[in-house]
Amino acid sequence: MKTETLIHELAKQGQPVKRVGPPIARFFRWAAVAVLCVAVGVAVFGFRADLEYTSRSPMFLLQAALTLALGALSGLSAFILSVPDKAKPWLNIVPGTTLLLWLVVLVRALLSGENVQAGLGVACVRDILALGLPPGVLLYLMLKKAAPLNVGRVGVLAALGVAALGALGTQFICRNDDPLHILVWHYVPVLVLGGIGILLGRLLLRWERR
Amino acid sequence: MVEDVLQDTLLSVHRARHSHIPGRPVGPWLYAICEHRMTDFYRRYRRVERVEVPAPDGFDGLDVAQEADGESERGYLVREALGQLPEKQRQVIELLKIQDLSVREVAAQTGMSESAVKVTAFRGYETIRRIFGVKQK
Repeated sequence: MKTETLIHELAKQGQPVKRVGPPIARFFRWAAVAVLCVAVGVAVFGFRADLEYTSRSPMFLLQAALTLALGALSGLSAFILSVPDKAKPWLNIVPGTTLLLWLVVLVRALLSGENVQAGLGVACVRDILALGLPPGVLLYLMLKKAAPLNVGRVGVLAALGVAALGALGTQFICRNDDPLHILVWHYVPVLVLGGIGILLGRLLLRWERR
Repeated sequence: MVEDVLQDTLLSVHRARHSHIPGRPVGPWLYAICEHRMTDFYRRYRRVERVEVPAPDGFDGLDVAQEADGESERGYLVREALGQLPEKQRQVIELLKIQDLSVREVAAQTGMSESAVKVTAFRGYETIRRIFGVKQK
């Protein structure tokens, strides 16, 4: 087909479209629903019995802050990257740094602790998945409505964001605060889910051929 | 080739038009789509290039398209060599080397499988090399 013909065809099909809103506004809409989903999920699974005592621990608060930051920054980055715009390398660096900071905090606690035991945490992985799934579905649907160019990258950030929120919720359910347990059964699943996000992004976020 | 990228970019711009945020400059939005389509094109091009049929030794450094159009002795030899090939081999080599299509595109156009295209091209090159060898001696 000649380019002129294609332009005429596209112009003929050029019906008015509903535009996606600004990424930051869409992020806040998603974040409100995501936090609500996680809160309801934690209430359904049941808060840990020692929450009142543990919630005063600096380590607990630091980890909660880091997972919340990771969830929020990854989600925000995914929304910003879901519309074509000039390259913004900091969108990778900021969530990556938060993830690294969480690892540093855990390793430091691990090295300074004694009698560390990971324990079995299959239930924690299940909780992370269950808590992250509803906000995750919503996030992927919202991202697909835009036009992400690098679907793998956006997929990773989205998966990392919802997995981090799942880990945040799990912290309020799981009674094991041992750093090794958190590292193996909370941090690693978040990392793995983030990696799976590449496939999810490539599978679910493609829009160019639709 | 440029036409393909341009048309791909136009289609992407059309499909992504809902993602432009009103009030924001159009330039960076448009540039990001163009850049992505170019990267995508180069990635595909490199992939196709990797599975391209390598021309045999005697054919190295010979620009068939240019030689076939030229008035030189080599041009005459190329045209004559192509003319002596069986119909299928000539068609495949013309599509690959003169029209500069990829193996996949030739397969689609001729209704042959990609491996059949590669085998036919290889046999064609062998024949041309033989003809060249004889003529040049």
